[in-house]
Amino acid sequence: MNSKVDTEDNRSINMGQAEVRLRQAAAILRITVGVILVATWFDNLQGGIYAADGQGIVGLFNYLFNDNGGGPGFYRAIINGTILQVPGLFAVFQLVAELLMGLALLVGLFTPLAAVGAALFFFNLFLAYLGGQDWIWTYVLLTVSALVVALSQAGRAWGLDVLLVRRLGEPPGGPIW
Amino acid sequence: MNAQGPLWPIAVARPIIGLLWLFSLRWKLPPDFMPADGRGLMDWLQLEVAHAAFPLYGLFVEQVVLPNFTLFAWLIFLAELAVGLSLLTGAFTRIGALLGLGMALNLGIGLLEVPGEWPWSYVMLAMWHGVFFVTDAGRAWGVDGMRSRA
Repeated sequence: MNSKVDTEDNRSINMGQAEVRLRQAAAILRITVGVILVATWFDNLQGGIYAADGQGIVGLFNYLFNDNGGGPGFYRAIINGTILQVPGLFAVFQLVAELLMGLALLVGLFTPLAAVGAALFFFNLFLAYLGGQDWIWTYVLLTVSALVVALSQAGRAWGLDVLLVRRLGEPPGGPIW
Repeated sequence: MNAQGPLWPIAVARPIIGLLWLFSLRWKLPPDFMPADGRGLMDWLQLEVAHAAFPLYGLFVEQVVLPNFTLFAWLIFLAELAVGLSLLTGAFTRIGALLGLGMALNLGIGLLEVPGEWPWSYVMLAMWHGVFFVTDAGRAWGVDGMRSRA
């Protein structure tokens, strides 16, 4: 009898450890996506991607639409009707948003919010490169990773969201940390 | 504080990455391991030799793999098929994940300096297999979970 109880206790302890490991695994995903975003941001900054000219946003979409995929027709129409109407504004937005998302994921602050933003950004890249020469699964991997980070609330292991939960409790308006 | 995490988001990602491996078989199908158009397995191996990030690795591919191409092509094909099916179904997930981790690292090392390749893709791929291994991701919505409950 005692040994059976012991076994059940051990099983529940093991289950708890497994569940903690889950969030730590999600935290590793979060940190990796954060590192990728920050490293790519730095590369893009050096390469002049965050500019509105032919070397920057406009040049990138020209390259995508003419030589490398460019995605489905509806996507091109949306980009032509929005981003390419105000490339300077979007270049600044991308410069700031990409860095903030990367840093937030890196340190685990407002993780679900940052990860949803990153997932949308990566899905946008997926559509942009669809039909081109790039390995499209890269963008699938990135999008899925960001979504899993968001859904796992991965900032609650090795992240600053732990402090927010401790100080403020569960977020009242939805899972933003 | 709740430090516990749900398995289901990772379990949803598992079959997607299984599909990644199965889709990647399209350009290395036997008997010739070449697609109808575009680069095949032989082309990629030659690129690994021409742009080897690690000279020893390039030498190994050149001296051992390429002269025995059919043998290695079958090994690669069967390994990718096994990993793909394992992750898709959640059967023997930890073994599949470990094999996938090795293959992802091999791809990353081999393609690191090949023009047009983005090394972060292989970092992501390797990391995902590590996550599947550590979390035993076949426990949720997988054959491993069904077997353990039976």
